[in-house]
Amino acid sequence: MIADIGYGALLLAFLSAGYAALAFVLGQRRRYPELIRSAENGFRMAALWVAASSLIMLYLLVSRDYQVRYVFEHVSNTLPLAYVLSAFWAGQEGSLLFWLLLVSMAGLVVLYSQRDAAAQPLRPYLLATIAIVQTFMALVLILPSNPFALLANRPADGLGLNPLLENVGMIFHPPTLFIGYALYTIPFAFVLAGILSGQPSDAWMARVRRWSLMAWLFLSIGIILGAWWAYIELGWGGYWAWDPVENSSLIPWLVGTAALHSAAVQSRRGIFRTWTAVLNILTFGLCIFATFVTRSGVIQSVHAFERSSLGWYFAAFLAVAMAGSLGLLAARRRAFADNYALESYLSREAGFLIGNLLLVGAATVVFLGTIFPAITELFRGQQVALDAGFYNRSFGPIGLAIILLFGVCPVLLWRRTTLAQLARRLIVPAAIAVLTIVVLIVIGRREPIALVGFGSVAFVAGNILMEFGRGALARMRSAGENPVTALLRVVGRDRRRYGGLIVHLGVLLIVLGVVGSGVYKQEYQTVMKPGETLDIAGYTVQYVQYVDQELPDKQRFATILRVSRPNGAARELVPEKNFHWNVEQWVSEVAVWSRPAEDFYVILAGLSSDGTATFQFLQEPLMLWMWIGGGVMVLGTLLAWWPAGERRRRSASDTAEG
Amino acid sequence: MTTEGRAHDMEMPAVSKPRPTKFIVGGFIIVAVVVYLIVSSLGGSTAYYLTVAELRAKGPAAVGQKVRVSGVVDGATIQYDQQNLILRFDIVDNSGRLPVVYHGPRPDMFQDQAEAVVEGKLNADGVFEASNLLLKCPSKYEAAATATASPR
Repeated sequence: MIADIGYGALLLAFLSAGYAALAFVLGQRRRYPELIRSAENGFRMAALWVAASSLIMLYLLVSRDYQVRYVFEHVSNTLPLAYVLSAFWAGQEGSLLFWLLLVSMAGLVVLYSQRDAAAQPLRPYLLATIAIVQTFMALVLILPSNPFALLANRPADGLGLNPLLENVGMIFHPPTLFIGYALYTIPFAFVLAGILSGQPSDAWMARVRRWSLMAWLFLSIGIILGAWWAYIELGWGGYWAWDPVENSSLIPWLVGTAALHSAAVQSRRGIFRTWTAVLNILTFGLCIFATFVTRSGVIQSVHAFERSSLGWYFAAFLAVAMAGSLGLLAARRRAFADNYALESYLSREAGFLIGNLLLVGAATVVFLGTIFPAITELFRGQQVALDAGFYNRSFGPIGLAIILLFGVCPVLLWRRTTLAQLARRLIVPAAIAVLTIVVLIVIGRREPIALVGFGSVAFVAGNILMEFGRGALARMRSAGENPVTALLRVVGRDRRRYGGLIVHLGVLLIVLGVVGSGVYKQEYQTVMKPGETLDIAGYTVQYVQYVDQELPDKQRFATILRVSRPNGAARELVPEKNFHWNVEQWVSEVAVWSRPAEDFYVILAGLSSDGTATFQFLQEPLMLWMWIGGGVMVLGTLLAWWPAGERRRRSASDTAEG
Repeated sequence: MTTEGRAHDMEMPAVSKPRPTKFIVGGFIIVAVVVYLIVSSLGGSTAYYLTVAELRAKGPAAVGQKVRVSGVVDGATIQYDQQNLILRFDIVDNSGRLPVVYHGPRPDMFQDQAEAVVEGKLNADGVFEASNLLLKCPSKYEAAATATASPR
């Protein structure tokens, strides 16, 4: 009954959004303001109906109405409330409803924020594009993926959540990705409005910047949380497996990163206009592609999502959206002509362009690798998969080039830079890099990947920190401020630039973790009886106690270890192997001691009834920096996003994104 | 924001001049490098998806070649050596049965009737040596039921 109301609300949302899309376009084409006003009401109604059906979904989940199939499949009597709420986006139907809800809410913000005179000619197209996306999503929800579908009877208990997914990372990882995907609708709508109205302008594109940043931020957080969940929960000591579903979130992130940088140049310099538009359109398309990959079953993935016809709805929408918007852009390309052409390779424009090409190149590598099985099936009738080695060999060098580039880019000037200027500014970071490499060689860390990786990080970090230093020093001299005030002021005055540089520092920290754990990971394996003590890789491991206890939801088998370092530091680590009754499945819990130098990661690999246990110990150097780097990226993005105090910029020539 | 940018570029013509050849060359070099990286990285990383029958049909030619085979785990054949972390089991697909050996901890989702994808090589003795064991949860969960295990 209540579920039927929810479905009815979805139907009304579909009709309202469809009407709004048509009325916006017609009203604008025929110069009929009443129709546009009516379209706005339709747009508001659509958001209202979506919100209503979402609330009904939440109510059904919380009231555990198992007659609703979605509730039955994702909730159970024993499931804690937090997971009941997160079930809203845990499954396919719910996550699509969540996506539609996000697009609708973002649409409302756009509706109320873009009301000034400059926005008027483009506004109907902007809202129409959002309404078209809403219409499509609502169509999917009322046809192949109905969240309110009912079962014939009402079961007494639901299936609940897979215990592997009962982890904080799993509450936040899917929705953050979805928020990222959904928010990327807005930059796409801005670009399309620019094309459709025939009045694309840099001022118009500048309005999209904070939307793009927000979408990018959520996508970044989603990817990092996914990696963290894999590391903590899946118990193999890795964080990224180059699985198609993981890849499909990385591809729009890479292209979205390129789009952000390209848009920065466009809004400052009036060049790269076509390129920015193309990248924004592609990013949106790749977000849709991600859903297609996840749901169509075209590509084999260990993420065992249910295969459904849904994928083909997304494929069709993707084809229409991409062909339509890129076709329109091609037809209107004259309106996107640049202010001036590139002059020198040693210019910041060229640096951004090369970085852009490399990011798109990296995205292409991941994209082709992901669809490789489908391609080979098409041409040779047989699926051929690629392993992680492919990505490491192809993505690795491109990634390195990108990182080196963001060491060079901030010191390049717009238009042209002389070699002497460049050399003067790069000499110190280069010396730091050489020193780092020499020190590494002296202490016996001679693996080529480590030397290149850490050397590059040192070079770029040196350069970025010097940027901060130069800025602060200039203020100390001119305004006579103390170093701390000067630094804060300099950052506060140009948040876009310094926020960007901080994001780059975050990426460098992540690289530390990737290289450290990639090159120096060590693995040990031993059998221990309770009470035994063992020295392993600089740690003393004492197997204190074996615990076997029956809990309401599971049988808990835990091994309590006391791990200590020669310097006296000690930690209790408790790896477990639990048997969950409701799903009749084992769930292992690893135990990790994270220190800045390295993670000590313990897996309980085997267990006998007398407590004799087989442990796997992993040493993962510098892993902690990966998560710290993720946090730094978030802070930097927020700083860049934070509304500026509308202070005038000094001059266009000495400001830029890092 | 933009007006400032524009003001600074006042001396510039409003329409772009054709890009100098040197940038087109540069662009092509980057594209070429990316293509080269993709093509050269394929070597040694490809693994054919085969059914058990297809693998058997290749005969001795299949020995030592990296492939992926998927099938359902036969619970009766599971042998796990806890001390040395050696996992032996058969996977079954509709074309036959394949004995598999995997070195590493037994994954949580590894159980009777689990859908498994094994990546590795066929040994001369007819046992499949899996370097990678991917599992899909056989149960009612549609979402992200995954476990990867790669011992080194």
